[in-house]
Amino acid sequence: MERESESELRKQVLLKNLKRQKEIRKLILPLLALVFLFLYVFSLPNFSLVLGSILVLISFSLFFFGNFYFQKNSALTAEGIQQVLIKIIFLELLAAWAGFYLFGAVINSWLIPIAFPASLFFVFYLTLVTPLLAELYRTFFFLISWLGLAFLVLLGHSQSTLSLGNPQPGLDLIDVPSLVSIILAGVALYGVKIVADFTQDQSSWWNQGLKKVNWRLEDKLAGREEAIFKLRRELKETREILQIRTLAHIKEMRRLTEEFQRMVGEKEEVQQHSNQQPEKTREAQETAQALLNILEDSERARRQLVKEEELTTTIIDNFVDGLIILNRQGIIQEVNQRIEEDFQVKEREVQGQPVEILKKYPLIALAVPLIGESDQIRIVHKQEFSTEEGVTIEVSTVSLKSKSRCLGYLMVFHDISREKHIQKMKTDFVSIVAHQLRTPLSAIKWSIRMILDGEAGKVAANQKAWLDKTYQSNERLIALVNDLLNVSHIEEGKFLYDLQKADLGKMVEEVLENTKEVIIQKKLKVSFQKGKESSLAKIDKEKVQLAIQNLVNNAIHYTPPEGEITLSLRKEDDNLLLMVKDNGIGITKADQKKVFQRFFRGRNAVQMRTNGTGLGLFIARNVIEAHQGRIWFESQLGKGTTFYLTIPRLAS
Amino acid sequence: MKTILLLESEKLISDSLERRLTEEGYRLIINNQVEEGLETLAQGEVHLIILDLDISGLNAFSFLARKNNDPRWKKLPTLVISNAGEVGELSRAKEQGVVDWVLKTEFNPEEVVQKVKSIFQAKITI
Repeated sequence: MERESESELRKQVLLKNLKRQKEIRKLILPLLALVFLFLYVFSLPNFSLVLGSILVLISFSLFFFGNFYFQKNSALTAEGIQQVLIKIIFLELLAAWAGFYLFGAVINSWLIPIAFPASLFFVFYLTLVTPLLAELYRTFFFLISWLGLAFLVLLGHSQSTLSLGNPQPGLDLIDVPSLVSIILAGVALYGVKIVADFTQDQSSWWNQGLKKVNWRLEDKLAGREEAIFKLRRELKETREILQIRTLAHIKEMRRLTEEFQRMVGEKEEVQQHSNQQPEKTREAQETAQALLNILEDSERARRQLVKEEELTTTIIDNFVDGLIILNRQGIIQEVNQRIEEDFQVKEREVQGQPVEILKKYPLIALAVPLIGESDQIRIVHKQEFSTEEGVTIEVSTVSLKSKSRCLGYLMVFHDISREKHIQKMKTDFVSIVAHQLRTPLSAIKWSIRMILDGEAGKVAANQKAWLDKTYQSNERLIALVNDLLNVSHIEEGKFLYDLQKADLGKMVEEVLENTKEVIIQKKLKVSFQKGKESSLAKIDKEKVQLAIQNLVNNAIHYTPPEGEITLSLRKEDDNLLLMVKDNGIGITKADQKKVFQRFFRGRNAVQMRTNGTGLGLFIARNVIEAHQGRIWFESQLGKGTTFYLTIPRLAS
Repeated sequence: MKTILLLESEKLISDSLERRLTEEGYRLIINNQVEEGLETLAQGEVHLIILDLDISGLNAFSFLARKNNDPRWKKLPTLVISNAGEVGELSRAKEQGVVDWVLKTEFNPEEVVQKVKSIFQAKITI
């Protein structure tokens, strides 16, 4: 394949070479004709010149005809063309040789200098047609030319007679001018050779052209080869397809045969078994009866199920609290009548909808933030929300679990408006009573104090003793009333009335400000470190402040004078963490479990301060837990106590 | 002479305070109603207000609000005395620009006098 394309390439090169030679001659021949015409005009009636010119033309014609003949008769194979070219070269050499001699002879008697350009012209012509020839050929041409010129010079000088075909110049007649002429001729020819070499280089464009032809040929051949491949492949595929089809046909035929055989066999079998028919019928009847029995049983079970379901539905519907049942994905499955009545929710509108749809119903919309969205249902216990109509609802969410797998959620909406109302009345009552009692008590306290301070004149010693006792009793009464007031706070702490954005850091500062009198009195060292982060939280401000106040009060009351209290507030995950640390009396191990209990006071606390109520921490815990926060402490007896509380922070 | 407006409905308290403060050289005007107190302010001689949050039958906070809304009295220092000392009340009072407070059940009249003195001293230094 490669060799093929190579010979093809060579063939192309040779053909191109021939064509080029032809074109050059087309140009050269008119020029030659012109030169000869010119010589005629100037040399007439020099008979020898005319004869010489005719001879030159004849030799050239011979060359052309030979050339033409060879070309026409070659088979145009690579080898054939190669032969043609070699023959052409031979003919051209012959023509050059003859031309020089004839031309030289013609002009010999007339004008020697013309011989030089004429011979140069020949050489140049030859170099033009030989760029494709090897270096060796070129050198050979130039040598021939030079020899020719040298011969002409010698001939001219000796004036001897021309002998055609056998020129034998007289060697003894060489003189200095002849030698110079020969050398000059050599130099001129060398110049021509340089031109020829240059032409050779220039002709490289032609080689490149050939290369391109080659590539194009290769491409074409490659294309053809590809087509052949394709054809072969197609043939192969077709053959395979044909084979497969044939096989399939055979298979199908085999199958049909088998089926036919089987059908024949079955037919025979059926004929054999037709005698056992009655037994089979009885069997079928029995099966039918059994099926009927099963059907009856399942019908009974179904009825039982429906009855139970009805009972469940009735219970759910008539349940005293509102109930909403969600599936695991938070989609509402069922809503009972109480929900429909209390919150004006239509079951058919919400059934199959995610729990967020409740936002559309103004009476229950506020519950949605408490219970979470459908993709994240929150398990809540007794969270409260109030509708605009003043109804307070307590909502609890229970995860319905069966074998630890969550099946869904049950939400219970319990109306606690009445309890709330009674609660409020109780709180108000206690509060009013406490205030009313405290007003005269403080009046008494101040009056006795003034008398004791001698503002109303000098007090006798025995009078002073009585007044002192009265003053102390009054103080105890004041503490008792304060306790009463706190009792009303206990229950209050559980309920959040007014959630608003508030800065916990500022609140701590306020609490410290409120208590600065005692701090100064006891000469306590109090420091408060606040983190740089925002300490905003959504809280019931009064309640949280009460809780903080209670922690701070405890730290103040149960730390000896000149003690140290450290507060810090910082962000911890989603919470704000408040720390209240003192180096006070601490809490005994035994008491540590009870400090958050109502009315509990540690033994050492009672010793240190008689008039505590044991309600401060109880209230604080109620408040913090109602805010989804946490409260705890670390304590060492005699070394101090650190209380911690967390409140969910408001994302900034 | 500095004039102090005392808004107090409990006679015993106002009497004892009047006695002590007069001794200290202050002039005292005692009102037991919010409206009266505002009238006294309108006369324009008051330098300090002592306000009892438990002023009978009326809301001390409404007095504070009205006082603060009037540019003439907005900057008048106010000292609060209270029976209750409830956290919320004190915070609210502080928000209304009260400079200091005294809890009647925990402090004696003497401490009120001290506070009054310190408020005026602070004013002088300013």
